[in-house]
Amino acid sequence: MERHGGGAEPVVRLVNVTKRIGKRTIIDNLTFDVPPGEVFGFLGPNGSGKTTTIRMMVGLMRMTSGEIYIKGRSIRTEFEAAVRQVGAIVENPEMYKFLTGYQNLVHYARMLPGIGKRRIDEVVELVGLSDRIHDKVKTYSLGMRQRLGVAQAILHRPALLVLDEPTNGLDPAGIRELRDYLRHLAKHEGTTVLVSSHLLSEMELMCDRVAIIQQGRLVDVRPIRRDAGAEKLEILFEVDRPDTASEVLDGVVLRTESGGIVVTAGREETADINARLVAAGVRVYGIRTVTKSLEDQFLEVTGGGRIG
Amino acid sequence: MADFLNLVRNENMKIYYRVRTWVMSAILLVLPLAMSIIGRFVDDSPNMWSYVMLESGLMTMLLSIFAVVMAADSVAGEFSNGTIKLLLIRPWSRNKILLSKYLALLCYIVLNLAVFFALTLLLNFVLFGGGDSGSSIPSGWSPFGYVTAWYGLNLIEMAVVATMAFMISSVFRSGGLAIGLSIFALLGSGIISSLLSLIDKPWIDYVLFMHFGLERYLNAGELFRGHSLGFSLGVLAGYYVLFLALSWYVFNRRDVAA
Ligand SMILES: Nc1ncnc2c1ncn2[C@@H]1O[C@H](COP(=O)(O)OP(=O)(O)O)[C@@H](O)[C@H]1O
Ligand SMILES: [Mg+2]
Repeated sequence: MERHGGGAEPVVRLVNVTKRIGKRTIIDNLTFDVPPGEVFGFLGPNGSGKTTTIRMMVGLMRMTSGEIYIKGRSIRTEFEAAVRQVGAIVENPEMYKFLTGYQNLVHYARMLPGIGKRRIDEVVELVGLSDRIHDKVKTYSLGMRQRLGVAQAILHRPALLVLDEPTNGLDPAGIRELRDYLRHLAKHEGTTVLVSSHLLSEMELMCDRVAIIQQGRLVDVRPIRRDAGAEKLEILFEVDRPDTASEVLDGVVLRTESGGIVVTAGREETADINARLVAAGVRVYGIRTVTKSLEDQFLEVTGGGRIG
Repeated sequence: MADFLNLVRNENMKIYYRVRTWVMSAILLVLPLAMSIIGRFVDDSPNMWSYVMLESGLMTMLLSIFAVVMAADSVAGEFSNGTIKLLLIRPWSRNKILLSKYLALLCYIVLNLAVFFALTLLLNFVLFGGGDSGSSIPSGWSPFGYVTAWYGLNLIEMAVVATMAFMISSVFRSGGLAIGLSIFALLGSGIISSLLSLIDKPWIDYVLFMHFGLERYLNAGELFRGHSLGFSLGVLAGYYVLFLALSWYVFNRRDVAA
């Protein structure tokens, strides 16, 4: 199996995934990997194709072309082996309303090998539904349904947990609890979590990395730095002698442009580089970022406003 | 690998944990009970077999309707409630999931028909005793043999109609359409077949509606348009296979966007 940069094999690989419905291209040549053990965000405005991508990932929809692998198994040709690794909620967690929460879990447990009563009880406890689990689902609030949805998704300890807009309908406390829980799953149980959202603020708090998608196309995949100052950006230094500057900053310079050099640097490094240039007698006329911050990029995608 | 029977158990759970199912079965039990008991008091010359046939005719019609409701809900209900998504993302092929639904439906029909068959025989034997069958059973048949054959043919018809509803449910994901069309076929087949037989074309003989009401073949000399029981069963079998093929083909290929 192909390895990436010495890291572990990606849990999900999308390769040139395209979905056309009629003449419309809803997902356009999407390619990205989800590394193991991360909380991976799938960020995009409403209608950008997040749910469609997730549906293809779990085999609910066919791809027009391309391939999706879950832990190396193709969802198209090895559906059962691939989907066994996955627990998911796609859009709303719809359950059988005329059954109790517990009966719903028994229903899903029966479809998976080796899930006994003990595991069901454990999961019920974990999502905090013990008091109401024997009530009919039709009496549940949206928040309780979300919890039951998470319970059915983690029943078989999947390697990959996929949650489509899981914070919809949750109050701030519920969102916080979910966020902590997902980070716990990723850190301590080694579960890879893929969450979609149209809210940047949520993704920033929850995720290690986000893929940004717009109109079915991948805009960027980038890590999220918890400490905003540490985010490395491409910085352009406008200088009088780019070649000299390049020599001074031996190895740091990304590329030379007419009238300047481009480096990758965080906040402090930018100041250091400036000091070195000035000390070497290079005249610095301006310093500005070339790459956009995550927020800039997302605001551009959403046309300035966050669609709420 | 978890057992396939678990899938059937799940489908059974979704049928029998609903109040609706028990209301329907209660109707199937209470109606004949009431008919026989009233008959016991008001009928001057009661006869066990005439009550068996009277109740069976009514009950199989009701059970057909209930079976159609079950079949219609089986696939379409999962789509309209959105539960289909969580059902299909399990390590089971769509083929097997659909098969489990279909088997649970057949079990429901067979179970109800068997219980009702036993009930009506027992109930009317207790109330009216064995005795002469009078004119309720065609000559040349033992009463029990006739009733058994009658139930067998009705089971076949019920399976065909329920499979049609199941197919519409799977293809159009609409329970209402499945119920409407199938009940129309059930209740309207008599009128439609009379109308169709006015048209003197050979293809008429292959129309589904011309082959409901199989029990008429049990009465010798009442051959409809010169068909034999074997021919009617053959045509029904053809439609049955077509319904199943359509259900499976569409269910397997469908993009689930519910
Ligand atoms: N079954 C469908 N038929 C046609 N268009 C669809 C279908 N499902 C989704 N779409 C379109 O695909 C686009 C992406 O939708 P979706 O994946 O639900 O976006 P998101 O989850 O990011 O809000 C939307 O423009 C939507 O209108
Ligand atoms: Mg969506």
